[in-house]
Amino acid sequence: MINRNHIHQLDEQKIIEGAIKKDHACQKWIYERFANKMMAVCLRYTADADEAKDLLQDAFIRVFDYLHQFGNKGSLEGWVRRVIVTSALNHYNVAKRRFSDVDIDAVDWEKGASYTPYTAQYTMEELTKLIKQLPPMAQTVFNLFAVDGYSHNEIAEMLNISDGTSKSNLFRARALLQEKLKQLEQHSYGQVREHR
Amino acid sequence: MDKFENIDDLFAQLGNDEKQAPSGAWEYILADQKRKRRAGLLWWYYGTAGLLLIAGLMGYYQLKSDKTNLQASNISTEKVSDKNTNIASSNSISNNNIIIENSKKMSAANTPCNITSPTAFTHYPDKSIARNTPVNADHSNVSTIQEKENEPVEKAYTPVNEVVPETTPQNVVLPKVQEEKKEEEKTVRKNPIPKVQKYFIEPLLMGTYNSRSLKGDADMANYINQRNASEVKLLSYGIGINVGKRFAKNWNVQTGLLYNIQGLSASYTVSTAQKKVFVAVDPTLKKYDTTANYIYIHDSAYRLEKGNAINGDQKFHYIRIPVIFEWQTNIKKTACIFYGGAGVSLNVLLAARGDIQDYQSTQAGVFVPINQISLHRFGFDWTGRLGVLAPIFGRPNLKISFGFRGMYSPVSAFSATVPIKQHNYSLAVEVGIRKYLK
Repeated sequence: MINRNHIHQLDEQKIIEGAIKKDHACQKWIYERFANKMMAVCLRYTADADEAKDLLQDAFIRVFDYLHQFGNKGSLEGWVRRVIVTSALNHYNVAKRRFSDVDIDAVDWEKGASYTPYTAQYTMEELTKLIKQLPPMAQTVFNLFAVDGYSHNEIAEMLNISDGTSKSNLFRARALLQEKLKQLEQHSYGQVREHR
Repeated sequence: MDKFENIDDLFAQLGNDEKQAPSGAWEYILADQKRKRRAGLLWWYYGTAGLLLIAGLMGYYQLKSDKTNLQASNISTEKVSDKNTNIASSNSISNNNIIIENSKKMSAANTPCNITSPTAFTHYPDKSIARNTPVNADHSNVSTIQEKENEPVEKAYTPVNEVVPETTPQNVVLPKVQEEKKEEEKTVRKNPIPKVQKYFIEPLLMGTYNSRSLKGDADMANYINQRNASEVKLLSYGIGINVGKRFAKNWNVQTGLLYNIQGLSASYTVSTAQKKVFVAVDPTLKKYDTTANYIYIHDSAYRLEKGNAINGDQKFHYIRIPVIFEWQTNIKKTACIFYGGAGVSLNVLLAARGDIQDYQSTQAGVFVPINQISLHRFGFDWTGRLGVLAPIFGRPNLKISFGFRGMYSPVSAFSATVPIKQHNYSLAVEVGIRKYLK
């Protein structure tokens, strides 16, 4: 049993080994280190804070159940993030519950092509809100590709869709986000003018 | 530059975003870890108990078997010596004619000519001589039975035994010895089911591993499943006493009084999904806060404030009065018993007791019990078992049985018009001492 007062003196490898052996102090250290970051991930993949909390709990339980499979390949944070994302997709069955397959030809993803890059600064909350306004499939694909860095191949496998569908949804998400950013900038600019 | 690249870069920073993790999440995870560890320990407990039981029974039979063989061996040796001594003294080779005949056959196989007269049967002290020496050869070193009269018989016949190993003296007399051995065993064996005593008394200890099934109105299916999903089985236990009476050769009837504690662990976290389920299940509950969340554990409903989770153990206390019919038969030195029965269960406390109650008292305001589900005082249970009775210390018998126990205890939800059928299923291990009364 590892003394929780001395846990900060241990290196990550020792702590992982302790957590694999179900040492609660080590598990808590891992939880506290990543909980806030993973909560943000959960919030992006769920409808509200309650659902995000449920996901966070379930996903961390899976993290501790399968930590022995980590094997020090890459960073622990990357592995935990992957478990969280996979849990979000599997546990809540997002793909089946929410998604409607969108054909690439049916999407007018060129709509936002003439938009010039934004100039305003956005808060994280604003950006998260914008993503949540996207259609579910586009939202998840955009999250996976642009934010969490998965490739189209990986996304296709995770969501059980084709590469083309993943790409089409990404383009659709980007186009819609450009539109929304444009509207947001115009709205902000109008408010500034009125204020003056 | 890709026209969307800036979009991706803009949103990529969300990957480093942090949001305050909700309070109580770690406690939930910790509770789950503890539950899993406890469940794992239970499996170890049952596995170890089962292996110990099997090892004990095997050891017991082995010990008894060794003891019996030893007795039989002594009996056999004594009988053989007696017979041989008689033969030697009377010189009438009654039973040993077989030896002689067999010896003849063997000799015939190895010698070029036949021995015609039984009385002229020659005894070869050396097996090599017996095998290789023709009848016509020099028999200077060959003795006859008559010459060996005064020597111990076993010693005198040893060479014959070596010549005909399949027909050792012991083997020859075995049929009779075996019969005597069986008779000996019959007298030695302690019959675990005495033929005289009709009544018995049986103190019992039992361990059960429970699971619960709820069935009710079709509209409540989702609701019930939601409730059941959080439940974890706990080891439960009981103690009691049975009295029985034999009413036929292999049959007896038993009844008694058993105090039984059934436990389960439940946990629940508030989620928006549950709100919908709750409202959909019973829209007439408008008098209650439909935005709140409820957890039902056994017979009590708890309203959860948003953002909170509860978990804990609950135990049900029952007094059972069973009526059991048992069929038993002797297999070797134990009695194999099969029994089945039914009985009534009286809910002693009419309320669950456990950690949740404590939690409520220390965390006032977190959730409020609403007794919308009430447990009926009486239930009905049934059981089927397979076990063994083994004699220990003479007449009292150690009984060990494994089996299944079911219990039906109806409950009412929301109102008496919405009944829920609650079934408890248990894997039971029962250990008792059966004392037959004179």
